[in-house]
Amino acid sequence: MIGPAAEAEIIAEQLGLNRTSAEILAAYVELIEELGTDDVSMKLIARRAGVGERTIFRHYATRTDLLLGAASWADRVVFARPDYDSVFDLPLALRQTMTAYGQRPDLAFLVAEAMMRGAAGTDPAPSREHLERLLWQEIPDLQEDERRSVLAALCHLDSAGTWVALQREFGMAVHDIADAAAWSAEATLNPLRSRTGAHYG
Amino acid sequence: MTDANDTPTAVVAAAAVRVAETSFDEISYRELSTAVGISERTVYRHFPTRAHLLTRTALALEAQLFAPTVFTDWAGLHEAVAQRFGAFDQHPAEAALLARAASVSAVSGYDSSFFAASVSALVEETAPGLNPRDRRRTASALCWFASAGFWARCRTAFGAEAEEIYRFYRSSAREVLRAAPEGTWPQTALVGSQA
Repeated sequence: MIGPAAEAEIIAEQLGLNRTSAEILAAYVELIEELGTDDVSMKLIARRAGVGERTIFRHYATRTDLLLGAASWADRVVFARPDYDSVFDLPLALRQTMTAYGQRPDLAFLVAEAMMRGAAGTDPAPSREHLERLLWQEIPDLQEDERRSVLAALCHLDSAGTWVALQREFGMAVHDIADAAAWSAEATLNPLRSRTGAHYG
Repeated sequence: MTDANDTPTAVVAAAAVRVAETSFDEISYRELSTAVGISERTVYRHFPTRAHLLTRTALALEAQLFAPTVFTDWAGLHEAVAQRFGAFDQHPAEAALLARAASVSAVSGYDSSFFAASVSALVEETAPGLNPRDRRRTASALCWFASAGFWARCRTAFGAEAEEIYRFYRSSAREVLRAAPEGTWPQTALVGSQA
């Protein structure tokens, strides 16, 4: 079973996964939530996904590959971002995203850590493309260095790492984390508000 | 090296040396036990999960390579961040491990770092009129943009180096400070926040 069917299929395609791979990852993600990351055996994943253990190894040669695959899957499917078509709607979307992380802390930690494994890990800025496109559309005259700076800040905020940092270092509750992340994104976007392209203004 | 107090320290030291040479996941308990001259079981007794080993190794590396400069004003904070990012560029594998350790579930409850405590103290001292919510979100935003995680994300996703990452941090810090209600910040804080 792959979560909300249609949506998950589109995401599987975007991640370059065939149906079996997607089913393995979905099963693994479910089991991590039930048992924690340390206690999920290959046998259990195989049974839940309805495939043989050999099939898992054919799709994911190592345990690390499987874990990283599950982390991308969780971030794109379980923590799917709400649709928004203005960069100024990111703060509101962030509120929702941070709340979702807070509801499923084990998966949030998994995603946050997978993104911090450097080049071998999962993409640490998955919302970059979308945000970059919105910035081009809405503020076409943004200087290159300024664009990079805003993008880096927004991608950083729109990550499971934000939830972990605010929870771990500041002991914040779910509601405060959502509030703080949205507030930081507002602050980052503030200097851009008066500079939107003529057709918007 | 088998003294009860020294064993975990010796294991961590053996792991820390290997961080620059290989991925952390490749460092086995077996090789650590051989390096220290103890049994693998003893390593497990001190580090029941790899998250324990990761956390302790990152702490050791932080003390060894990235000890934060003490600061008591805004210029000092910015200087400390610049230095830290510079040191991260010098030791990228070790810095990446710091970022990774900061993103795993805390091994023993919630732990506020020395750096976070210093930033909170600075915010509180400079803007005593700021309400607790604004104070906390200001301090937490500053810390998150000054973190090893920000350095790692900018390096991996944007190919940025320390100097540019520091500029990203400065712009974010400036906007975060400007977002506080007008009149809350004494002039000195805002002057310190100009790039």
